[in-house]
Amino acid sequence: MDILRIEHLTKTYGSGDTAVRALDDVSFSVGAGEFAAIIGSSGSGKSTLLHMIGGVDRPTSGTVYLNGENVFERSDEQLAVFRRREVGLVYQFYNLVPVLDVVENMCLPVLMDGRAVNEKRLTGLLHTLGLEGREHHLPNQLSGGQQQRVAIGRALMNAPAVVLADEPTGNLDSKNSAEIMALLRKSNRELRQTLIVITHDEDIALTADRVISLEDGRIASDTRAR
Amino acid sequence: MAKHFKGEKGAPGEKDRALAAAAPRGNVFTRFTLRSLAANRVRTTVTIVGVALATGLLMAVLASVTSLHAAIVNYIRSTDGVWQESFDYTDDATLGNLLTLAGDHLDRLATRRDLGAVALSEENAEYAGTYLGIYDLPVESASTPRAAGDTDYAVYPAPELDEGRLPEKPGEIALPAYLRGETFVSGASQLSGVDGGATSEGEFELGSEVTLAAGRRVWVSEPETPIKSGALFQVEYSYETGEDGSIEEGETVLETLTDVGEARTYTVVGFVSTSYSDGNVAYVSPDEPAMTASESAIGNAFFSTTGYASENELDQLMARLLGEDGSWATNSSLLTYQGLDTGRQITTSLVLFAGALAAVIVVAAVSLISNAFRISISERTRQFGLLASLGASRRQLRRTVYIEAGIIGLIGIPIGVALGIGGAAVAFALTAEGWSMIVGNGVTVGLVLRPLDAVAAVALGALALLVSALAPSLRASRVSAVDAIRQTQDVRPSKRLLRVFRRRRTAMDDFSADGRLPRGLAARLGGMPAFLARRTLAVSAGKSRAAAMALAVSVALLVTAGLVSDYLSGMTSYIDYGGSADMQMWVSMSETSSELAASPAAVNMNDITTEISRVSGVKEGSASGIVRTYGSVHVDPAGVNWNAVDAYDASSPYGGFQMDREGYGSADFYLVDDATWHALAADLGLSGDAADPEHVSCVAFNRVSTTNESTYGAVEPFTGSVGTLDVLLADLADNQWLAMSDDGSAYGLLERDDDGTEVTFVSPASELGLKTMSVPVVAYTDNLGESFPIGSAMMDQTTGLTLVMPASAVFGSELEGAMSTSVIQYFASFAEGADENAVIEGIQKALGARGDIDTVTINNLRESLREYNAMIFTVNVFLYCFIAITMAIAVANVFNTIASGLMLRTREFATLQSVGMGRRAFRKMIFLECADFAVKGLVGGVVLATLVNWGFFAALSSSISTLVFEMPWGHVALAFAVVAVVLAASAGYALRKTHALNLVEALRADVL
Repeated sequence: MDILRIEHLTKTYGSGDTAVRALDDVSFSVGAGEFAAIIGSSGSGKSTLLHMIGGVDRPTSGTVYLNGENVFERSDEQLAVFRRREVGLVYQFYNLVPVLDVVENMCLPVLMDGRAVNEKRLTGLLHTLGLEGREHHLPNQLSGGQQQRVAIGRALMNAPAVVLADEPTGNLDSKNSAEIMALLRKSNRELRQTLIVITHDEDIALTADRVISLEDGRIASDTRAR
Repeated sequence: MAKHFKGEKGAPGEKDRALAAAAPRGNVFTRFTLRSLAANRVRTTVTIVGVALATGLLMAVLASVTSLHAAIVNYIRSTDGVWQESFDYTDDATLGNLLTLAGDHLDRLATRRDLGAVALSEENAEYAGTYLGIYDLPVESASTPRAAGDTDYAVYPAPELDEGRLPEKPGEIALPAYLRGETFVSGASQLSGVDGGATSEGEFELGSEVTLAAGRRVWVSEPETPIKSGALFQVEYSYETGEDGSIEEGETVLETLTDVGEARTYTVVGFVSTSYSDGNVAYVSPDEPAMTASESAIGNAFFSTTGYASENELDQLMARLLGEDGSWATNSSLLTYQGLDTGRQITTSLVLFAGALAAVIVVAAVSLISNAFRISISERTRQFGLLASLGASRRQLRRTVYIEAGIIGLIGIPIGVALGIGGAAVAFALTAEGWSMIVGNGVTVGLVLRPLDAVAAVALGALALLVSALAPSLRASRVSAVDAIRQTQDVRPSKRLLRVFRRRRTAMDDFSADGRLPRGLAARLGGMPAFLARRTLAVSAGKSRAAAMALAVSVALLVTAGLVSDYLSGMTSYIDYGGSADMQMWVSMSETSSELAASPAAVNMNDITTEISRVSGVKEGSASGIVRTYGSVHVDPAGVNWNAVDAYDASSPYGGFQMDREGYGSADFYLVDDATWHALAADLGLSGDAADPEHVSCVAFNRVSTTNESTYGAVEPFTGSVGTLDVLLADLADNQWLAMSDDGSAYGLLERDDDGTEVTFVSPASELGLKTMSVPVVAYTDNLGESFPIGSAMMDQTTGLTLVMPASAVFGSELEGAMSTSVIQYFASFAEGADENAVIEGIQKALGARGDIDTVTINNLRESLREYNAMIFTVNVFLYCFIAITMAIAVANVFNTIASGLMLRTREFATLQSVGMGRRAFRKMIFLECADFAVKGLVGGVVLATLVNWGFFAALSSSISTLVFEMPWGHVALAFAVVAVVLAASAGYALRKTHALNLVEALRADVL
């Protein structure tokens, strides 16, 4: 079953002469539990695509269906709820809230939703992410790799259907990169979470179930492994 | 940041070296600074505007002070002349000595001759004084350098002409104006053995002749020592107590007249105003030959100097010239304002007031500049880290900050100086007339620019900028390259927060028991938004303190503006000229009676006002009449403000308040015509019976002046709590009246004995069992409104209660007999464009024809009103300029703080939204943060405003006796409202700006 369906997605920035078409009529579907890597040169529209799927940005035209529902039919307020419940976002630059400690940052989406923090899940994640003993540190007291783990913890805390990662290892050394990818992959396999990763790293792309290549806002190729 | 370096060629490694050597180093940093300034246009603009406003305000204040100072000096120059020292001489060699001794210091020199004094006959002496002195006109020596260029004013001013011209050749004379129409007759003078030496044929007018024989005034004890011919008559008075206890006054004349020359005849060519410094003097031309028998004349020299640093140096010169025992005169007021006489302090309330104001301005300016600058730098902390990582040394980083300060200063300070000069020029142009009236003597007051002021404004602005740049520059140089590269925010958790974190053990310690909320009171009360707001404030404690401080300064500034307005308008209320009327008519009958019913000019009041209003050129509805009467009243003691009465007793120059502790006392009744009562009722919002002039009621004018020689003040004698008072209807014999007892303890019946010599206090009013009439008090007010013809500041000059009543209700009632008339006055104003003299004549004629009025004296108040209004206008223009600029500074300060603070957190906000924070929750969070600032700002603002208020109070209480220290809560509320609105607008602007940045961009924003 396709958990995610993207139809004729187009995004234009600016207008008139300076208009840039970041996405140009992109359509594809991703199945539940699938691990897709999106590759392409910079400016090819990868990040734009990811933000559309994550409900962070609205398209110029086209639709995104998650679990059969049109994401952009929601109001801004509903879109906020969608972001905290349905998707987990991981950025290259971590984007942690500087004034919150590790645990608070991880649980932010849960708290925003007014639900109780699942202690078992939290401690499990902290253990998995190797953040035990760091629970009450502020982001600027952590290393880059640790910060990215917190960001991943935040993305996974709600057990979202889809995890979206924008160059999650772009800022990390190879050891940390491998560990982060292993974490994402583990969660993808164990929880049957759909994982979409933007990457420059060929090694990561090679481990994916499917590699979608973007060029000038269009899908240049879409190949499945195996 | 990457963008900025795209233009540079080569890899980062090369860049290092480029920074260090190859490229012109200053250039790189200057370009870097310029670009970051340009990239953040709004903030840069606000910073520059802040610097410009602060510098402008300083410039304007300095220029205004200089201009007013120059005006005062010009006033002194125009009245007293520019001379600094003056001496008398009989030998021309003394002048030569002066030239030698003073040398290059001597600037301008004028001389004139004291030709002698003419004794007047006793008959003439009664109005013209014992002597008429004869001086010639001062002549300036052309041989002195006149280097100061100060030639607009005479060294010693010639007498001011009242009519005709000044004498130009021998035989011509200008007499003092008080002699016009008089005749000099011969006879004995007030000096024993000396006959009057002045005669004339007919009354003095232009062209008439006067014959004068002048002599020399000398001391009886020292016949060699002359007395100035214009000086006062030298007499010693003595008082001796005789045997019967009576005091006898004796006088001994100390001078006499000698060396009287032959009588000569002069033609009167002009009349001049008497000057205080010259005395009773007539003027002749400089060519007039000597007049005394010995043909002697005493020279009076007046001179100014350049290059002397103090009055002491001038005194040394004089001592060398005239000997230690010599005597000379000093133009001390001019020397004081020229700064040469430092012994005298000009410390008036106004100077202190201006000082307090200047302090507020300087603090505000420094606060604004440093706040704007601090934000501008902290915004770029990371850029500095990056630069450091590229090899910029600490010194280079510090220099970058100073370059930014320099660029902002280079643009902002000149704009500020121009703004300040322009603003002051406009303000002075608008108020030139008012200033001329305030300064007096027709001295024109305009903007005077002194290069030193501009230098001071520039220096102060630059200093503020430098001080402001100091802390950020240190911070910039301390930024670690690692922090910059890791892109962590500039977060410095407080020690307390770190302790809190350290105490938490398990992961779940961060949450409430049910795990739904973060721990802490804020989260429990306001959920996630409150929690986030609270945490942000706790983490960036330093920043939020600075922001709250900025808001506090803004609140305090606005309150200060309000305070200045209150104090200034309070001060002008004491010089309040009058009510609305242009003309004041004093009306009387040849047979005057104090009985109200016997004065047709009072009884026919409504007819007379109608008559006046019919005269063409009288403004419609402006005619009004007031009969001032007095009588006795009883007020419930609970309705009297006894503290005010005590204050009055303590400071009024008229003695005690005319009321005893039981509430019996005297009152002034102002009986007004029907139209005036209607207008008053409308102004005070009265209706029904209270507004009906046929119905007995009164308005209590609740203000009594306590102004005396040294202080201003006014108090409110009524508490305003009682609704009626009793007018005493005493039926008294001719030798009885009601008044205060001698010791001031009781108000009651006084009686004069049959001889008419002794007055005894018979009994207090409370024991007389007098009939009374109850009069409702329909209003208490200290302002009788725009249409009332007499101004509050005129009406409060009294010693007892003042009540306004409708005349129609009083006439024919029992009250008529209880009041005694003192003055009957009518008032009117000119219609627009009316010929003032024709209108006055018309009224005279119309009233004269009635037959119930004998004499009408009409005063034209318009000129004094014009002066008064011009003065008020002048004060207000400066006040509103001050308020406008303080507002601008306060607004800029708040905007800078809030908008920049929020815009810096763009990325954090985007993160919160990307993980699912809704708009509503987000707005709530921002609102709570701002509310926190606002509350802290309010508290700080109230503290600062209290200090400023106390400063003003301390400065002014020395001249206003009844000033009470009060917190201006109204202004505080208003200031807080303004700050809150600006805060909201700034936050709104900042959020729109961050929303405008697409969430996606914001998430990646490097804030570089």
